Amino acid sequence: MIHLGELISAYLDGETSSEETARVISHIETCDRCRNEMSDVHAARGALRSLPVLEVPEVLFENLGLSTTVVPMRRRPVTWIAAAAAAILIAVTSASLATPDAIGVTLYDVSLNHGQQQLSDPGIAPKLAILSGAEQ
Amino acid sequence: MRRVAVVGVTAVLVIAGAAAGAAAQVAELVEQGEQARYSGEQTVVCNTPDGQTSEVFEVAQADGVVVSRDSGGVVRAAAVTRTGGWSLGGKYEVRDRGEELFLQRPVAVVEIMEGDLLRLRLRFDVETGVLLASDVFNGDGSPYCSTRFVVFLPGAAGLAANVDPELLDLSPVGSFNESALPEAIAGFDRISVGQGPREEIVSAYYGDGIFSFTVLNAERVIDIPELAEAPTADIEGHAYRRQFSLSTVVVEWSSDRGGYVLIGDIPLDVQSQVLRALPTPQQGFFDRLWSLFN
Repeated sequence: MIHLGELISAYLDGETSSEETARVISHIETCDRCRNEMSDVHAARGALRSLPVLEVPEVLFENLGLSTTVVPMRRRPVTWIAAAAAAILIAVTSASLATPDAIGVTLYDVSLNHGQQQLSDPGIAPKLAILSGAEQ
Repeated sequence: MRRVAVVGVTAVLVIAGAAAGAAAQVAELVEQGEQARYSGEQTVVCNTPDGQTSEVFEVAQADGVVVSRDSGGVVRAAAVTRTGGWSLGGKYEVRDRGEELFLQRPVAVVEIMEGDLLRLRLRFDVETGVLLASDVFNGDGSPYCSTRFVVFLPGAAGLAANVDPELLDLSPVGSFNESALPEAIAGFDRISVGQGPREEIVSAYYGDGIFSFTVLNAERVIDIPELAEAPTADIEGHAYRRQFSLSTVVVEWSSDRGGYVLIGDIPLDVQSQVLRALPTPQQGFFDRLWSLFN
């Protein structure tokens, strides 16, 4: 199965063609991996968008003796290298520690799976269960 | 002295013979009950750490199909025909407690002992073999779950009339992580292994002749949205997400061998034994981060 990959971001950005959109929708109906990935990307974007945008009051600049004029910042190359190294370190550490994507299943599906296997059980358990499914 | 020894051995043999006879009696009743035709209403009451749960079901059986309908109108159906005879795990002993009246019908009372512990009391209808009442006990002797028919109509198919349930077969799995789903867990034998509710999930069913449970395992975390608000249970110092629904308990956790879900009808102390024998929950993100520097 060919997964959606970068098409997920493009779809969420509204940058897919009509054919690509149809492909995305069709694919996520059957692919848990891509559906979860899309859900995660969507959630991450939503979280970023929900962060408040704060404006620094001009009086603060004045109190600090700073100019409100925007001045381009010049960074030394060594700062960039250190920042890049730190970013890579954080990314690698996070990847090794992060919980992998979850597989979503409903309680009904889990209960049904258990019930199906009970059919082959010669024990008393199926009679005690009386189909009192867990999805209630 | 020799006479005392002979009497003692004879007594042991008589008791063992009685237990074997009681087990055979239960096997006969179970087989007879599978072919019965009846309808009725049944109550289920369970005492869980999160409080008492109860429900009333309409239950009916006919032609190898059992159907239930809960108070919310949800109907479920399953086949009752078994492929093999009843077998009891070695740790249990069956005791025949004679007959009594239940719903004004003669019932055979049987107790399942686990050592000195009364684990299960069963009342089988003598005429049909149907299990009319059951009481499950925890390891400390406290009652866990009880089922009771409050209405029993033998011969009436009721809900089960003309039911043709669509039964789904589990797809066999080619390979799975044997260490994650071992052949035996806490005295329960693995009876079957199959495809779980999703492609990546393997499902193993365990039983000991009395109780049963299913363990789902996947490389990734298994997320059940309905358990998002479920209480966290501390078992043996590990945190699990656990929810009770009548006699069914569902437990969700993730370990270093992937995501796990346990579902079954097992008493509280047995839950602990089973969970202890499976890979334990993984530490949280910050615990793992901290452990990197220690």
